[in-house]
Amino acid sequence: MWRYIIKRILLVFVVILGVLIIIFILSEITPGNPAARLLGTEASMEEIEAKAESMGLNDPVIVQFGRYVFNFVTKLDLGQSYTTRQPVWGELMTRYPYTLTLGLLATALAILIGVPLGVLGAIKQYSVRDTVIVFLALVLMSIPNFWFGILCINTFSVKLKWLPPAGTGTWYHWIMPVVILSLGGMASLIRVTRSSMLDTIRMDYMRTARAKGQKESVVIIRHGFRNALIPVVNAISAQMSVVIGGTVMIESVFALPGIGKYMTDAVTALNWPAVRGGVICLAIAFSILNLIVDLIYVAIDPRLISRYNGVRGREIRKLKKEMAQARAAHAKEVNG
Amino acid sequence: MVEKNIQNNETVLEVDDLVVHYNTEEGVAEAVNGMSFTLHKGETLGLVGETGAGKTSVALAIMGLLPVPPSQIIRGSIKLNGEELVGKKNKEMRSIRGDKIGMIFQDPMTSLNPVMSVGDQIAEVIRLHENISKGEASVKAGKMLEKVGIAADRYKEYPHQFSGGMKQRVVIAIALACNPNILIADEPTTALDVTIQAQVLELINDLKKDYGTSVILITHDLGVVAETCDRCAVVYAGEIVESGSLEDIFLHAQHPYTKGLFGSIPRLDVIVERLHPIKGLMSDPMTLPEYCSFYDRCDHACEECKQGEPACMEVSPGHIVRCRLAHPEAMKPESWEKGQA
Repeated sequence: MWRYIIKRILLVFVVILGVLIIIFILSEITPGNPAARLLGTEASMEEIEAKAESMGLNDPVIVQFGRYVFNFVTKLDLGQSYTTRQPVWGELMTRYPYTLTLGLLATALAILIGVPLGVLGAIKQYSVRDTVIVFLALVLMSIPNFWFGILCINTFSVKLKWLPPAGTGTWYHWIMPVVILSLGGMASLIRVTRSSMLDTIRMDYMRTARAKGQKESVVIIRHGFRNALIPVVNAISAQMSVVIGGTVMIESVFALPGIGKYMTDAVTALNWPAVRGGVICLAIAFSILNLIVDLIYVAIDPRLISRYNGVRGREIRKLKKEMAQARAAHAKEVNG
Repeated sequence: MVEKNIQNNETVLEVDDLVVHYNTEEGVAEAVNGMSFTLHKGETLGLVGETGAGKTSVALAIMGLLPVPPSQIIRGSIKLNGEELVGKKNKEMRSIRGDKIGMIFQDPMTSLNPVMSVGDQIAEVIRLHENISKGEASVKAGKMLEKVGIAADRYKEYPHQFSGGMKQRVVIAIALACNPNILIADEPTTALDVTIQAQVLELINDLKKDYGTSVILITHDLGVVAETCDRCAVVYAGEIVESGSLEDIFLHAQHPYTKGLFGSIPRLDVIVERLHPIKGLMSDPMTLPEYCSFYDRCDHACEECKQGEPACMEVSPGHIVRCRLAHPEAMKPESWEKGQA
């Protein structure tokens, strides 16, 4: 078990390193001189050249990359934003809580509504209830969330004046962004849970559980749902990347000061250090969330662990023990 | 062959004129058509028949596990120790399932929950029917594991850590954990290889003797019946076409279908050039005829056979045949006389 967990944690570092390399190469090959952009349009060629030298932009790429990683790991230094001249790390950290809150709340809402609806649909397949749920999932899946966001602002903020149209402050501000961001994930969770439950409901072990005289509700939850969860957890982890991507859009629509908004602004301003930092932060968050999901996996499905440890290890140890015992018995017989 | 178990004639289960239909979009499938049989205490009854003959439907009807809809018990009664099971509420059936009737399923690979330890799966049924604590139930489940030949220290292991035969042992432990009156074994060895089959059958037999459980063994393997059963019923198209002691069925088969079954298996003691399979296919349960459902495949079919359902004939004590030709005074075609000679 520990072997799997340690392996999985090491993998996070590999993934983050990979993201760093890709992002670094991308920003390296984009045109534009960072020194010139930092100094602005009024700087002379000499000033720019001096700045570039002091920033180490004339060093080989590999050295620059090493320095970037080293600065990030030791000093949490992701460079300076071109537009504000502030350290990128500090700017990201003030925005991180908004994105995380938005992403986690939306995922939680998607799970809390999507999974139970999927189960409810599956246990009475083709019933009216099931048809309504399937139709709902189809509708939710087809709605583009930026459009729905604008529609909601128009209805609930402009016309009905129930909810604030944008910004932060009270929990009212979160309702629309969270709900709208969760819809896509909710739809796919309904579908995955439903089909996964339909598969497990037909399994023989459900019949075994019923043959024990177990209550139908317990049969469905303890025996069915736990088995159906495996693909669902998989879908949740896949959904998280969609949700994190979705925050970029939703933050723009609702003017939330999160990483998504920060990055869209940075991209339009060709503010590379900010884009780079934002992507890395999201990659780290995403890797950690995926790590948690994978560990949950292990808790749900005991078969995963034996793929790493193997029953063979146990059997070989047992065999060795038996052989040692037999040898000892034999020696005793010979000597005695 | 096991000696006949006649000394004890107490009836445990009585199935009378049971009819089960499946209502599907294509039509009504008549899965079980008036099956009647009794099971005595400590006896093993074999239900033999082809795939689709309605064997499993009977088992599920007894367990109260028929999927409703599409299936429906049209009429008939199932009496367990004199208590009528048909029409019982689900809640009442739950207290009977697992406690009074245990069931073993065909495929051990899929009958155990893959994410629950085997011990917990056995303890679950004990906790359901016996008023004992979680700890006591686990101790009992451990003992049950030992009883089916698995070390109790494997309690915490999961089904994927066991072989097929071992899994079937666990399923048997679940079925017998509450010491049921009846054990229904639905093709318990079909998915296992031959050496493991023998072990599992032996285990069922031994435990049956220890607990005094009556067993209904559903199979399509006549060899398995010969080895383990006291009595045997041959099922065709949802009807019992012939039933009796092992001797009656194996040595004095009367029904053309039973004879056909024996003609289609290779024998060690007789040299045969060619096996004689029964011609045609199993009748479609959607379109069963008004007359004998074996008519189309029968070598001895004649015009008289088309006159309504054949009646059951007791040709010797306990040996019942559902064929017009079994009647001693029936008009018999030439082919029949030849077959008897």
